[in-house]
Amino acid sequence: MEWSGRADAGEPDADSSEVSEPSEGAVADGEGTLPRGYGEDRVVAMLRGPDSLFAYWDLTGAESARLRRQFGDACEWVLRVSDTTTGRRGDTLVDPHAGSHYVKLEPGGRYAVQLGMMVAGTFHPVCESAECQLPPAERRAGAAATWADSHTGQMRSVAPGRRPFSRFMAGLAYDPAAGNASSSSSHALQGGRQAPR
Amino acid sequence: MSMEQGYLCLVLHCHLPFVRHPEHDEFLEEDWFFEGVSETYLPLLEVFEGLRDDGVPFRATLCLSPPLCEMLTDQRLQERCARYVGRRLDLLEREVTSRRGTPFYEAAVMYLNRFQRVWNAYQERHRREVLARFARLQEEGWLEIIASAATHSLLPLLGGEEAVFAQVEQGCRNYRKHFGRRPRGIWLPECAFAEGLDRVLRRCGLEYCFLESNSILLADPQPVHGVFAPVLTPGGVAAFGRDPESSRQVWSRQDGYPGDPAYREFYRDLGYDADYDYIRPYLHPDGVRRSIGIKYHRITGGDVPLGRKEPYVPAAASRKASEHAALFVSRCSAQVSGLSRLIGRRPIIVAPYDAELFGHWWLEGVEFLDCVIREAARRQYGIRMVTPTEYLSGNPTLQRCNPAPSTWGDKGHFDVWLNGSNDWIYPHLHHAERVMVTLAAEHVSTDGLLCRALNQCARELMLGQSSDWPFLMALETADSYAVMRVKSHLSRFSRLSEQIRAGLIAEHELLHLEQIDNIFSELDYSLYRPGCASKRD
Repeated sequence: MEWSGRADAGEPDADSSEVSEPSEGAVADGEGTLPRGYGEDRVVAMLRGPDSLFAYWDLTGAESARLRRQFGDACEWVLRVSDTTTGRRGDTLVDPHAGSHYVKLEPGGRYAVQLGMMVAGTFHPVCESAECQLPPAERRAGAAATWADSHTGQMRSVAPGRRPFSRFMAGLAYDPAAGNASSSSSHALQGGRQAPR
Repeated sequence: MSMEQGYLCLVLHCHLPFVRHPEHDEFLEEDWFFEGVSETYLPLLEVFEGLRDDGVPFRATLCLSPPLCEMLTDQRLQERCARYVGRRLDLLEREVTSRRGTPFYEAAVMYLNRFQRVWNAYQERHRREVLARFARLQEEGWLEIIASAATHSLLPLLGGEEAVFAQVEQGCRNYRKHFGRRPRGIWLPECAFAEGLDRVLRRCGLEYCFLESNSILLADPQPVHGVFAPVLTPGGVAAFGRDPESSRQVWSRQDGYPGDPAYREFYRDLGYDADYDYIRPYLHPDGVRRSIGIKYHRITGGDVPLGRKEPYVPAAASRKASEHAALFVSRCSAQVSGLSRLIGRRPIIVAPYDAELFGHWWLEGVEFLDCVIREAARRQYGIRMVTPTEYLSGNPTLQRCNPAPSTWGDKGHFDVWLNGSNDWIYPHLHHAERVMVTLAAEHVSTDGLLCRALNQCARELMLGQSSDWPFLMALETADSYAVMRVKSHLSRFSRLSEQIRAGLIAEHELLHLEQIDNIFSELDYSLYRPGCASKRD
């Protein structure tokens, strides 16, 4: 079979010369260190899984400086994690310079994180995160099902099925407590994007 | 002839990170794009057009991510892709000659034929306009093409709603640029969902999305129909849940179809096996041996070492693909038959996959899909292939549920993208997002150099937010490239934003960035303006 016009192997890309040169002083690709902080007191809680969240913080702002001046270096920095639904909370000592911490929690809770100083048993918060909703680890107890039209949003009434669906689901191989039956994304991308130098 | 008892919704998610390095004559990671085009996207297009031409009543849902759309329509990458295919053809001509009379001859001929078809399709039939051909299939009613987030960012891990809105809305605008209208559905990157995301989707005019199985099964309240009917989220978006059974058959490491001993072995490659002087012209300029996509051995067995794999026999693999396709469809039919009796409505089996699995990772996968679709079209199975829009049109009443946060990553969690290898990126990305929101608020009406600089800031931020980078870091493959990408985009963003604040924009530097990071020519930085999330384009 004939084909024509294909580029010969090894020919340089004639277009690469059309890209302008970067300016003097411009940071080269990937070089340069990222700053340790951005001059603000902040703690952020990020969802990881049913029983885990990641908290990172920045303590280069005015409030943390004030507390350090007031109480000195002998005080302990504490990461306080609160379940905003139940009110339960737990404190973990952290190294303020570490910048982050992984927290293990009860599944399904809604949590907020505070970072502050513990001084003689009193917690002085410096910053607080937004709430973070963790997924449950198992199926919820049955609440009444309600129905709506997906186009209009209007509520609808629906006749029940022939038997509770949960009995069928029990027979399936899938078990959320054991994790997914397969891990799709990582399989495909390992093959499709592996390009070791 | 069986009555229709249920539906099959096949979803193929086509995505690659935006990898375009015009400042280099050749760049290793651009091979991901060339491999995707030659091994997956063009073969899939060939299958869909063949099904259409044969009058097979099929439907499929296809996500073509915004970075992929941009790369498919980029002239420089099109030229380089043609060069890549041309080189493979040169090599394969030599291979067919040298392998004659050996157990590898059949495979060499198979590869040559494949690449010849790819070349002819790319250069002549489609004139490199691959995206336009997919668009035509949608216009003709065979495919439903859906959007994704602008740079495939893991939306629940972004810093704030403005950043989420910007990613989703830019994904929709880019879709309109390429396909002439707004999308109705979206592929959430990695199926990542968290509370409140559906409200943003609805604000962007999106009607449906796809979620991992446990996001639906762990929803509140429990879904009456499991994953076999979509649910309506509090934000008014229909959420389709992935079917575990059809996923397991393809994805399972233990007993998934792609692991069959007759199929081609991915890890035994000519780039490593061939004599170095012979293969050197087809490697990258650094001369390092790497996979080049020509593989002559079959899996043989899961515990067979690479050095003892048997020669690949294309005809035997083709027969196996056909057998597996028939098995897949018969299992789907049994599922549908059983479910329809149980739940009192026609169930929908939602089967989403990363498209790159088919043809690249699993060579026979494209043929498998072709066989599945043709088999499913036989009425005896009682299955009708549908798109989400077709399903919702005929089944508009959905149970109201609040899906649980989840991804389709390992165990349905987020930790692949958030762990010790990649957690360092988020403080910097979140800070950049806040700066972008502030800049957008401060500059309400701009033009000229300032407008260009603000738009380029938005580009750098979005490129840094790609979920591919933390994923590659976690896998420890191409992680140095991923780290370089994040740091580069953050440093470019930082430098440019400082110039904007100082009122001293270096135009030559801006021009350089516009040339090398040229995704989304239509991008408007005002997407990040506070309050913009309440209205859309």
